[in-house]
Amino acid sequence: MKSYRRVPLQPNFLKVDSASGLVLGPTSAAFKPDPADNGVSVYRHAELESLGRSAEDVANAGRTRAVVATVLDSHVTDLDLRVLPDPMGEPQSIGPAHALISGWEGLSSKESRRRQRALAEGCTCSHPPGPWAALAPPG
Amino acid sequence: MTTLTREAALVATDLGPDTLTRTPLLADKLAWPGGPLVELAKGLIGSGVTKAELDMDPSVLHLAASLLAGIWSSAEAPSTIVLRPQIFPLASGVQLEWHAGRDHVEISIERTDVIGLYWTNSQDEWDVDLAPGRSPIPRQLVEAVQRITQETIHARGPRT
Repeated sequence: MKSYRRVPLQPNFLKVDSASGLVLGPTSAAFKPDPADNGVSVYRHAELESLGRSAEDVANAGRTRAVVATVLDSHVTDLDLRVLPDPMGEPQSIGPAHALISGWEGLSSKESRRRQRALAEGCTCSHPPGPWAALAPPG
Repeated sequence: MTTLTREAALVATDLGPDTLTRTPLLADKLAWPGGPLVELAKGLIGSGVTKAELDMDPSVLHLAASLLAGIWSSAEAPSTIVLRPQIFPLASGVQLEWHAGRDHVEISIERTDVIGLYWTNSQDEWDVDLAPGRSPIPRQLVEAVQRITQETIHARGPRT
């Protein structure tokens, strides 16, 4: 079981090795819970499949360019977080697959940052498919 | 893994030089340059930070600019050889990061009373809450930024 997280490129949320110029992956800031619902917005792979959608549709759903990171449920639960369904009407193409990575309540800011960092370090790049280092560094 | 709690940092700050001597994680002096925001912001722009990236709450910007000036000052970096951080906007603040090789530095500024510092060199990692203007800037953090800067210069040449 897995979920997709949009990682915006404008502004860019990809960290870069300044010596090699290679993209290292998303910054932990890309996994900061939204203060409005205290969760990290994701889209469930299984629900997207049932809608005939894919990670590419998640990348293209917003108004700004984005890449898509895959987060495994097992990694989320290892961090004592959970993925809760949160279907939305918009965008119609993928909204029904929307979910939230929840469980941030009561965490200290330091602990919250630690888990954000772990999510960022544990995710993989699903769109475009391939290693993070294959992405062109944000301009 | 080595961890310094905010409380330990504050206690070390308050107890003075003897304690600092026994606390190698901390620099032996405060390194928080003051000064008006506009002067600190000029330093950021001089390092390559764009005006668009400075679009944040003034209190957050002041902390970020002061901390960066302190790091660069402690690193004794010439003004033409400072490595600007990557700047990531947060809903109520900003995150500053440097990465090169095995060294990674993250600074989170979301409140005016505490700054989150995290850095690692793959072998050790530190996760420290810093009280702005009170806690010394950790020596190891400055050294990590120095190493990242040197590695970047070695690979790509100095920015002039």
